[in-house]
Amino acid sequence: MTEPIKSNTSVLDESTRAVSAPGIGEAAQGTKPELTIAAGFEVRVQRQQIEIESEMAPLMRNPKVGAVVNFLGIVRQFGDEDEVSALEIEHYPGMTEQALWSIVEEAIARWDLQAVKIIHRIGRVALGNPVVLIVVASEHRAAAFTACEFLMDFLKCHAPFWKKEIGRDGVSRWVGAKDRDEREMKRWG
Amino acid sequence: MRLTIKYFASIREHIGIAQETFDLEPCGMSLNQIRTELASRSERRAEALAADRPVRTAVNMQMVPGSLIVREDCEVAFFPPVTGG
Repeated sequence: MTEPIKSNTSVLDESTRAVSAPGIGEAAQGTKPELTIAAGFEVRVQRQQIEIESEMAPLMRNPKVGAVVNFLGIVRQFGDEDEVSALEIEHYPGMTEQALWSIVEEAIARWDLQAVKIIHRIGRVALGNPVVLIVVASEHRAAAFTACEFLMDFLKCHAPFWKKEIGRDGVSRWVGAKDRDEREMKRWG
Repeated sequence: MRLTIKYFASIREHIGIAQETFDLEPCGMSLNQIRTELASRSERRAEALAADRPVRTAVNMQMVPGSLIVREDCEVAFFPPVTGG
């Protein structure tokens, strides 16, 4: 049912560039077995707003999909600091995409998934706006629920993003890593 | 060997540069040793890469422990613990 290998990774900013899923290049050279990354699996880093409905709609066109679970991370007012008005997000271009693909591959290895989409914003994101969207589609709900949580726990600890909180006073401060994120990642073994 | 060193987030801000190259002889040095060597080059690097600060490392875009030994030209990154999501 799934279409042949088609990795769909892109960085949508001023310097738009596409990065292949890890292993795809090697597969072409015959040094590694082909990865089972099919259409419907996508990681993307972008400066633009996340358009939730248009991101989710295509996944529902796959007739094998019976469950779609999503996680949306939003900029909230009270973070490490009170009165946060925005986040400024930095990342490590190239490594980010590789890290996100590794996380997706790990999820595919553990659960029977029809589609996974991870979209993370970079640059400035104002209070109340989505920072990250993870969408997981599967035949039945259990795999989608569990994989969505797994993907988010791993993203928190393995994807090279760094957030800075911009206060209403205009002062900015880097967000510190949380011990609980490490604990939540480790429970997956 | 020639290393491309990248800094991110608070470390980049503190040092004031995002990238530099570093020629190293002899080949074969752990990331922790490279960190110490870089720290000896300026006060700002010393503060940003101080041993008591939580600094993570990557080689050629793979997160690796500071004990890893680098033996050839590569891209080495130093950054604080990640905070995405």
